[in-house]
Amino acid sequence: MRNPLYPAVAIGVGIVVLLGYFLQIDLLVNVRIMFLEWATILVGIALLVGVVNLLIVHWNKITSEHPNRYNSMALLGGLIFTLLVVGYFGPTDEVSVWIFNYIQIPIEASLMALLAIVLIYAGVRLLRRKPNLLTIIFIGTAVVILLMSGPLFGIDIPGLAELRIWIGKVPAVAGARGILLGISLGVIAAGLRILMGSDRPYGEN
Amino acid sequence: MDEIYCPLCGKPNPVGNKFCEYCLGFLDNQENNSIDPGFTKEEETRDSGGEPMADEQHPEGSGDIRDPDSRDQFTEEDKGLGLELPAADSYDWMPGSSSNVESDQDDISPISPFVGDSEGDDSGEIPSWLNDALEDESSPETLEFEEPIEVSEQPLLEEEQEIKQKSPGKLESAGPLAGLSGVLSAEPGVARIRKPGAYSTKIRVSENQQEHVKLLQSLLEDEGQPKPLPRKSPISQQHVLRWGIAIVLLLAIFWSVLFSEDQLALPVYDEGSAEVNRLINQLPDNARILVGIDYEPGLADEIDTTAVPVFNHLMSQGGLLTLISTSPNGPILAERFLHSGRLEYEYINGLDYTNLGYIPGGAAGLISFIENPQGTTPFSIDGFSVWDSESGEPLPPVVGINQINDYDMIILLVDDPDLARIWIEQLSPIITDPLTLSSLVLVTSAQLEPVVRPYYESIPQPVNGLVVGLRGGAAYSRLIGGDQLPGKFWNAFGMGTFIAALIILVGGLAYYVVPELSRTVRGQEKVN
Amino acid sequence: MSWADWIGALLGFVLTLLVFSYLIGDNQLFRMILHLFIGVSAGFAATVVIYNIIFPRMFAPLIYGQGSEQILALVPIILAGLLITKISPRFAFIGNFPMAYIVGVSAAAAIGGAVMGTLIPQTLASMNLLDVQASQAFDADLGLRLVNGIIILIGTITTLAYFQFSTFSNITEKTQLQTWIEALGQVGQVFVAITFGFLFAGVFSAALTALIGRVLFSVELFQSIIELFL
Repeated sequence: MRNPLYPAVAIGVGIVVLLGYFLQIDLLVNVRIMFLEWATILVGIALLVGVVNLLIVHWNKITSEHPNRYNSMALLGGLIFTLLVVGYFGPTDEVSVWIFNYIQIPIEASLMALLAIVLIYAGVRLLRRKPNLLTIIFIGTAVVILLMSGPLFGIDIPGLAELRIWIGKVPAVAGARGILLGISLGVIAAGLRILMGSDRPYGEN
Repeated sequence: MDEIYCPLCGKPNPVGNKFCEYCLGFLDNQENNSIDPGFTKEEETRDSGGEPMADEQHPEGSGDIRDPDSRDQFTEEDKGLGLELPAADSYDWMPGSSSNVESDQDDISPISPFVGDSEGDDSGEIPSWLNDALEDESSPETLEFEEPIEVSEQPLLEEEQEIKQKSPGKLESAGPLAGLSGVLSAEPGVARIRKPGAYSTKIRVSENQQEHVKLLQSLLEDEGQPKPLPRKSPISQQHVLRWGIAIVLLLAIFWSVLFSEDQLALPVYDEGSAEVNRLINQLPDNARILVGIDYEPGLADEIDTTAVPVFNHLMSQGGLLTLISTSPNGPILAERFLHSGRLEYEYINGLDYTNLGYIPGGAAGLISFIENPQGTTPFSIDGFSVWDSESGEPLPPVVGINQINDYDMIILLVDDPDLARIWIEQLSPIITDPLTLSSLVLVTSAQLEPVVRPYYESIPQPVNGLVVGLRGGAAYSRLIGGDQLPGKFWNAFGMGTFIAALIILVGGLAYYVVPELSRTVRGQEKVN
Repeated sequence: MSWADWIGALLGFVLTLLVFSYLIGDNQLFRMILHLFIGVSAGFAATVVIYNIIFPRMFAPLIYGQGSEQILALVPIILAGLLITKISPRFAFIGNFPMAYIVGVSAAAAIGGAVMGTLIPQTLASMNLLDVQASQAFDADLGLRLVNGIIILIGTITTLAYFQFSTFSNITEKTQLQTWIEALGQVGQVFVAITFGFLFAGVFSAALTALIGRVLFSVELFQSIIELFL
C-alpha cells in the first residue's frame, strides 16, 4: 500500500503556495514565504546530491575497469580539480574565472559553434525528399529571416526588411502565442495532477 | 432397372454392385432394392410381406436393442444363463436372451438397417444375401484386421458350452465379442471391414514444386549462416557534404575577420531596442537596477556582445546593479561580463554592484526572491551581508529596496525560452500593475525572439523592452553611437548568415533536383 | 597578456580544436573533452551551492539567528539530511518526504505562474488585438493593426487547434478527430511552420555568433603570438 504521507505533504504545501497567488492574507503570505525558502534550500541540496551521485557512478566505472573508464577519469579529474580550486578561492575569484574562461567557455562555445554547421546541413537535407508546402514555408521563412538578420553587404532589397519585421510581429507571434498557451495549459494540467495526488513523481516506488 | 438404391443412404448405385459406392452399405440386388425406399418409419419396420423385419441375428424377431422397452423382454432364463441383467439403462445384447424374447412388433425400432427378405426371414436361417455377405466378410481381402484375435483354445467353461448349445448361431471369431454367438453385427457398411488399400508413401511432387522446395530449403539454410556486413565506406556522401559546409562557412568567416576593414552598416531601426533606449534614458540618477543573469556559457559571446551597448548606456546613467541568477553559472558569468574589459566603465563590487549569487528552485526560487529578497538572499556570493552590512546600512545597490517593485528597472539577460517564460510569468503581475514604476527589459539570444515577442506585443505589456540577438545589439549600438559593437563581429555575422542562406537554398535545391533528374533519365532509358 | 592568459588561451585553443574534431568524426578525444566539461560544470555548480546556500542559508541562521529563527532553521537542515539519503539505494525511500515537499512547491509555483503570467495575460492580449481604443495608443495605422490583429487571432486559435489530439471513437467508425478541428489544425500548421522557421533562423544566428566568437578568439591568439615574435 502506498504511503499517504508523501502525497499529503505535496498537496498540503502546494495548496498553501498556490493560494498565496490569489489571497493576500498575512498568515498565508508568511507561511508561503517560509515554504518557498525551504524549497530553494532543498533544491540546492538536491543539486549537491546529484553531483555526489555523479562522482560515485564514475568512480565505480574507474574501479570496475569499465571500457570507458578513461572518460570517467577525465570527468572526475575535472570535478575534483574544480571543487578544490574554486572551493578554495571562491566562485568569483580571478582563478575561478580563469578556469571558467579557458576551460568551460571554449568547450561549451565550440559545441554551440558546431551547431551552426549541423543546422545548415539539416536545412540542406530537408529538401532532399519531395518538399511539401509546409517544408517550403519553413525553409522560406528561415531564409528570409537569415538574410535580413545580418547587414547583407549593405545591399538593400526593397521590401525584405519590412517582410522580416512583419513575419516577426504577426504570423510568428500568432504561432508562438498558440504554443505558449498550449504550454501553459499543459503545465497547469501536470501541476494539478500532482496537487490532486494522481501523479506522484517523488520516487514512491 | 439400371440402378438400385442403397438401403442406408438412399443413393442410387449401379445394378450388380454389392456395396454402396457412397456409404459402403450392403446392397441387396433383389427386386425390392430397386425401389427408392423413401424412408418412413413404418416401412422400415415392415418387410415387403408386411411382416415385421427380423433382426438377422435374431430370427425369432427379438426386440431391438435400441428400443428401451425391449429390454424387459429378457427373462429369467437369461438370468439362469448366468447373465445378469444389466442396469436398466444399459443395453442387454446377450444372445442367450434372444430365445425368450418375444418379438413385439410394436416395440421394434422403426429404424432397422436390414431390409427384410421378401420370402420372410423368420425361419432362423441365415438369409442367402447375408450368407454371401458373411462369406465376403470372411475373405481375407476385406478383413480389417490382418490377424484375427485368437480365440482361446482352452476348454470352454460350462457356461460357455451352454451358450453354445443354446445359441447355435454363428460364433463371433473376432473382436471383443469373440466366442459369442448370435452377436448382432454392426451395420453392414461398417462391418464390411476390408483391408485398406495399399498407398504409396511417396508424395506426388511435380518438377516445378521440387524446384520451389529446393529454393525454400536454400533460403532456410542461408538464414542460419551469418553473412558478413557490407563494408561501410569510411567517407560517405553525408560526410563530404558536412565537411564542405564547414569549410565554406569557416573560410567565409575567416576571410571576413581577417580582411574586412570597414564595418558594414548597422540596422537602421529596431523597435524593441528603441524602447529600451527610451526607458534607460528615463531612469533617475543612481537608479537601482536588478539584473538577472540567466544564460549559458556557450552563448556568452552573443549575449555579452549584445548587452555591451545596453550596459554602457546604463552605466553612463549611473545605474547601480544588483545581480541575481537562477542558474549556477550565472554569478560567474556576471563577474566575467562586468570585468571583461569590454565595458566602458569599471564597476566596483559592493559599491556599484552587488552579486547576490544563485537562487535554486527555478520558479519557486524566483517567487521567494520576489516576495522576500532580503530573506532569500541575505548574503552576496562573496559572503558579504548585503541588506545589513557592517555599518548597519545596506549596500548602495540595494538601498531602499524592500520588495522587487522598488527596483527602477529589471533587466534580464537570458538565452533559454523556459527560463525567460518563468521570469516573465512571475514578474508579470508586478510589471503590469498600474501602480508599479518598474519596467522589465529583456536582452536575449536571437533564438528567443518568437517566444518573448508575444509578451512584448501584448496589451497589457509585461515586457517593456526587447533587445534581441546581435541585430538588436547592433541597432542599440547605432542608437547610442560609438564603437559599441565590434566591427569584425558584425561583418562576420553578415557574411555567415548570407552564406548559410545561400547554401540552404542552392544545396537544398541541388539535393532535390539532381536525384529527380537522374530518376527521369533512368526512366527514359528503360522505356527506350 | 600575462603568462596565465597565454596558457589559458593556448589551452582554450586546443580544447576548441578537439571539439571541432567532431566534424571529421566521433572520436575518443572528443568524448573525453565532453566528460571533462561535465566534470568542470558540476564542480562549479557544487561550489556555488556550497557558497550560496549551505553556509549562508542553512548554517548561518542556526548560528547567528535568535529564538524562533534558530528553531525554524532546523527544519530545512533536517529535511536536507533526509534528502541526502537519496544517495544510498537502500535508504533512498527516506528521501521521498523532502522530494514530495519540493515537488508540491514547484508544481504550485508553476501553476500560479502559468495562470497569472501566461494564460490570462495572453488570452487578454488576444482579445485586445481587436480593441480599437487600446491599439490607438500604439499605432497610428489602425486599419493595418486591425488586420494584423485578425491574422494573429486566427493564427493563435488554429495553432491551438493543431495541438488538439483528443478524439472521439465510435463502434462503427474509426477513431478520428472532428472534421472542423482537423481543418483548423491544417491552417494552424502553416503558422507553426512559420514560427519554427523563425526559430530555426534564430538558433542558427546564436550558433553562428558562437562560431564567430571561436574564430575571433583563435585569430586574436595567433595575432598575439605573431606580435610576440616580431
